[in-house]
Amino acid sequence: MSTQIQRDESGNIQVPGTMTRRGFMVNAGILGLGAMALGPFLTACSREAATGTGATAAALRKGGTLTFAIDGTNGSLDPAAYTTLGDWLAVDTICSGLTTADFATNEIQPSLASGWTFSADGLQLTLQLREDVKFHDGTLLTSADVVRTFNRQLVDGDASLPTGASRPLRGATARNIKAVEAVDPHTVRLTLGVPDLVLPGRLSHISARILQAAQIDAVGAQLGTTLIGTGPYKLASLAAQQSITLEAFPDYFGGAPALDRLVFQQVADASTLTAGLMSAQVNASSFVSHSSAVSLKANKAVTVYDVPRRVNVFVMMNVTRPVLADLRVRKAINLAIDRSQICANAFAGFADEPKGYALGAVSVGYDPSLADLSSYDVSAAKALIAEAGATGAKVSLIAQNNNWYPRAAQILEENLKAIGLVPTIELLDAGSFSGRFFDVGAHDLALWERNGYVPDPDEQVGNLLSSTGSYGSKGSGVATLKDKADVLAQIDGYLRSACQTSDDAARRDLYTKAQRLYAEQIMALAMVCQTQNIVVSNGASRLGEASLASQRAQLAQAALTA
Amino acid sequence: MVTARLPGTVADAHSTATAAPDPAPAPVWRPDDEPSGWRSWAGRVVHHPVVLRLAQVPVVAFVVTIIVFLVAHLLPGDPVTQLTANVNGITPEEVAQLTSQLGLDAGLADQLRSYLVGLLHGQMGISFYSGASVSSMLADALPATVELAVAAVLLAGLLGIVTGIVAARTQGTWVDHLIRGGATIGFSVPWFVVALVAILVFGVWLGWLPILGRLPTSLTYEPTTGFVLVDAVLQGRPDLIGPWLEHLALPALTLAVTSAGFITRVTRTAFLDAQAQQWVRTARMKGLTESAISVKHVLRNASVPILTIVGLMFGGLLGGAVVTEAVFSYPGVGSLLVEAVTRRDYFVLQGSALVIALMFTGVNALVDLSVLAVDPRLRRG
Amino acid sequence: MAGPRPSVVEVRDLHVDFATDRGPVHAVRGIDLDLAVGQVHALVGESGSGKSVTGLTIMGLTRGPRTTVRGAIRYGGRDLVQADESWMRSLRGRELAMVFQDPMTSLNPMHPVGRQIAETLQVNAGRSRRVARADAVELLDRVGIREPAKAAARYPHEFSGGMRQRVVIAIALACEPAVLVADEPTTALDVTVQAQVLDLMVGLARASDTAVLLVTHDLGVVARYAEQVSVMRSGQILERGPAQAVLGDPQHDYTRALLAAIPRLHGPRRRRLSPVATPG
Repeated sequence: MSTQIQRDESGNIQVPGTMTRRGFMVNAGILGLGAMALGPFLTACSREAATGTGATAAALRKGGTLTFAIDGTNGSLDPAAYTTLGDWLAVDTICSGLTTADFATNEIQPSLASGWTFSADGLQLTLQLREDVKFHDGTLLTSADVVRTFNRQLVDGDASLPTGASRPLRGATARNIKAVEAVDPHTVRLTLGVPDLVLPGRLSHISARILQAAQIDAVGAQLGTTLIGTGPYKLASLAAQQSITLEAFPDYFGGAPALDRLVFQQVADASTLTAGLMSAQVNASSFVSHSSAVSLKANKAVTVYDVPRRVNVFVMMNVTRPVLADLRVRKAINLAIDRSQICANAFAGFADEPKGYALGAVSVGYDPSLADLSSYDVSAAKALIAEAGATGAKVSLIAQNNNWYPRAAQILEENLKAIGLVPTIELLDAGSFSGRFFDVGAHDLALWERNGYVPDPDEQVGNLLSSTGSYGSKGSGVATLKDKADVLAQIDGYLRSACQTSDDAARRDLYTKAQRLYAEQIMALAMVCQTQNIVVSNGASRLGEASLASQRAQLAQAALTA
Repeated sequence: MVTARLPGTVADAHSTATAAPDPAPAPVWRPDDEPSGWRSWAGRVVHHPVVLRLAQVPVVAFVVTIIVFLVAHLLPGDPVTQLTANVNGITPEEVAQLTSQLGLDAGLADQLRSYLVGLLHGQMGISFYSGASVSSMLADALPATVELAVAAVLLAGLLGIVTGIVAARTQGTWVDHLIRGGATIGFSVPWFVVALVAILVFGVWLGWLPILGRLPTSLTYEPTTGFVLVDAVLQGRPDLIGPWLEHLALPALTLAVTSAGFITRVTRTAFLDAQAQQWVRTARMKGLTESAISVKHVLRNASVPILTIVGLMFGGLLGGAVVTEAVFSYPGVGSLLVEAVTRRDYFVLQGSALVIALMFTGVNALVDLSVLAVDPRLRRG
Repeated sequence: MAGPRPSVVEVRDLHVDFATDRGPVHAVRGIDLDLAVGQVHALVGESGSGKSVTGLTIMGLTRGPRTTVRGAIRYGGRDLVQADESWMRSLRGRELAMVFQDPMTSLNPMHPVGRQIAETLQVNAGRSRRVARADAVELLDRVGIREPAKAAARYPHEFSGGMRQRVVIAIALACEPAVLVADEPTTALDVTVQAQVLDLMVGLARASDTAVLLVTHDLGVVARYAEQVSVMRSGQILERGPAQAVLGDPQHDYTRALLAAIPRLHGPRRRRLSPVATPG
């Protein structure tokens, strides 16, 4: 959440450079941010104060091995190819990006770039790089590395990509970067298609992690097994399906890390993970299931962190299906969802009811006036169903078969029955599910979650609401609504404009308009709640829990407790 | 020779002219029976039970490959969708390009053919997710599964056979009933219950044994052969052995406990059957002690059904290893397979399934061969 | 025939009962029996008369939780009924030996025959494996098996029934036991082979002064080989005495009936066989 926009003499938008996180924290206190709703999160995530369930700050020690449990690893760490969340946490740690995000405050901060400026027309972003950044092999970072890294994913047919690389940088930057060039050894210029003030934030995405040009050219597609970066920990070894072992990089530009080793250990089974945390065979994880969190909270040795909730849980409605073609039916379903019960039972209380539709309380653009878009009114829902003549209509809901999904699906089934529909629930494994989700021919309703890797409302909500994004075209099929073409264009317009101002109030206004319009005219997305990834530790501290809640790793300060 | 007989017996009618044919049809060994010449040698080799038995392995492997290929490709969902699920705004052209890059746009028959051809050249494909070659992934994962399976079989076999013999020797007593009851409970209790209890008791409450992985995260291990025991010797790293055994203990024990019960019952039955044989009476007549009889006469004869069952159970053990590896995060072929199925990583799926099938048929071939070695009645010629 | 020989085994008032689910079975109901050195004592009766049980009991092979043995079996100054199992075990193979009825199953199919003979020499005569194996070859020769050295390496299933029984005899007589119990040793063999095997067995036994208890139902065998005969029915001995006497001039009705039941080659062809009346 930023304050006044700074502009330089030429009127260019400028973000203050060379600000360390500590410095910013101090400023935030001075600026009175503690008074905002973000206060508790700041307290929870600051390095000085105690974390989690009110335990006193534990003494920390230098050295040791921290074992972090992840969902899985494929043994390939490459920002150009998403494999598993665990692998990406490792990439996030081994490499640094031009910018980084503070998940407690939503601020975008300098990382490899010390500062950046937009051109007057907003179509060029120039970034200054730090001059003291070393790669893990001792060489210095230059703009050539940045250019090579970006072109690797942005230019079609780059030979240094592994087969099947999905090149997520393109989507992460909204396919808006037209050219990347090195102005001088420490200055990079990005040329954009349309103005996008969110771009600096997008550059903190994992797919935008900066690699070493020499390594790209030397090993190219195979760099996933020997990844060299500029992060606090360097890759020591990896074993697919097993673990990723990182060792401290003492010349890290942010200061030598406290641990000797950081091991990302694959723990596929939920109960084994819980047992591992209880017995301190695992020091930390962000993959704990919601139901286990309750028993872990009761354990004295274990800390369950209170973290921002940015993960959107929603029911996607496929408007191309006859049963859902009527807007009234979709609105009725939205009114029928018993969100408080789902938060309490499926998420064990680790979720917030949506008071601002798709933007939770911690987000920029949060507007509690949108709370009515997620209200619970069974009689109104029934009336709408009857009016639409859909009483007794059959409707199917697909969901995954792990973690909180089955319980949530069960509650939804009851909710749908209560308003007069005849629901069938299908629980699928993750692989089958994603296939059916992005296929308008294969589902009616779908229950899913969406995690935003960058704490910006466009990252969280843009793709969900836009008619051209994958959700709109392949998930809900709203792009096919011919009679709503104007409305969709209007929504897309709001979303675009919201990326072209940095005034938080203006952005909030635009997102509010977009969301309200969407909910009232389209309603292909019923927001269920905002939840978090459960972040737990035993014997470790300073884990950057707020970022882990969104599966981002900020472990430069992590240490073991004495 | 016999001349005088009791007068008037029927037997007199047929005097001993020539040796009458034997009531038993068993082949009579005569010293000049050995066939000669290379032709008969070649014939004996081809029809040799060992050769015949070993030839079954590649045939089974081939059939399994085809079946797994078909099943994998017929599963709903595909890897391209999964790979691109998290990419915002991917275009259909890019999806098509990715599909073609991965070779998934060809017809099923073409894909199968190129896969088989690749297999013949020793290429098993690559993982769509990591780009690593399947053969290298399997080379890393296979030793772990082999270690787990061997440990589980040894433990289950030891536990099962010893308790089975004790139960047979104490037949009818409370010891026998106790052992049989324990055995039934052992193989009736669902495997994951045993696993969870083991994790809770030994991992969390007592804290005696680790519950994750193959080696502690604080140890560096550079595999030479991939087998920890072998590498510890080759690399001069005795410090690996202790932690390795600790990590192997819980998964192997959980697997063993659930399988041992079955081996106990089979051993007991086989033992009792063998004990009831007449040659045991002959051995007893010779004045051998009961233990000597058990070991020298009963066990070898009882070993045939026991070996056969253990071989069959090995398949179940491998299947159990898949789940075991998932629960204990033990990095073997089983967890590779599970991940590959979830992700529709076809080549990894097919490769892991093939390797598991080969292991199973290989072990059963070994069992059949050892049965041949143990029981001379099954040998030809 | 020589004068009365000294008794090696004296059975007095032997009772053997088995506890079954249908009540106790009194297999042997008070019998007396003497086995003399180097002589063949035939024990004759129908199936179920208790003759096999008698032989097994002398060997101590009927011992078990469901068996009750009363009476005395005197051998070597001790009562075998009262002797403990380890004493019996030391006697078996060394001084007491047995040949069983079915040669097809009496040998362990997984061991070569030479080894099975050598086993008894190793256990009972304390010979080393090498010596025992060599002796086994010699024994095979003595029981009339051709090419004994090669035969020793062969497995039981490679031999005919008669040859297998020769091997069993070799095992039984290897240590020159004092007592040999032969339980219907040739019943399962071909008629033409029976005489050969019996000749061999009895000849070898006599040569080493072994007392033989020959359990049989074949009166022809009794006539040919036995010095003494006891006729048994339903667990009791009805008639006992020298073989020629009992067979030539049977005193008991049952014995007479047994003899009468033997079919005759001469005489009317259509004469009915006279059955032996079995008691209720």
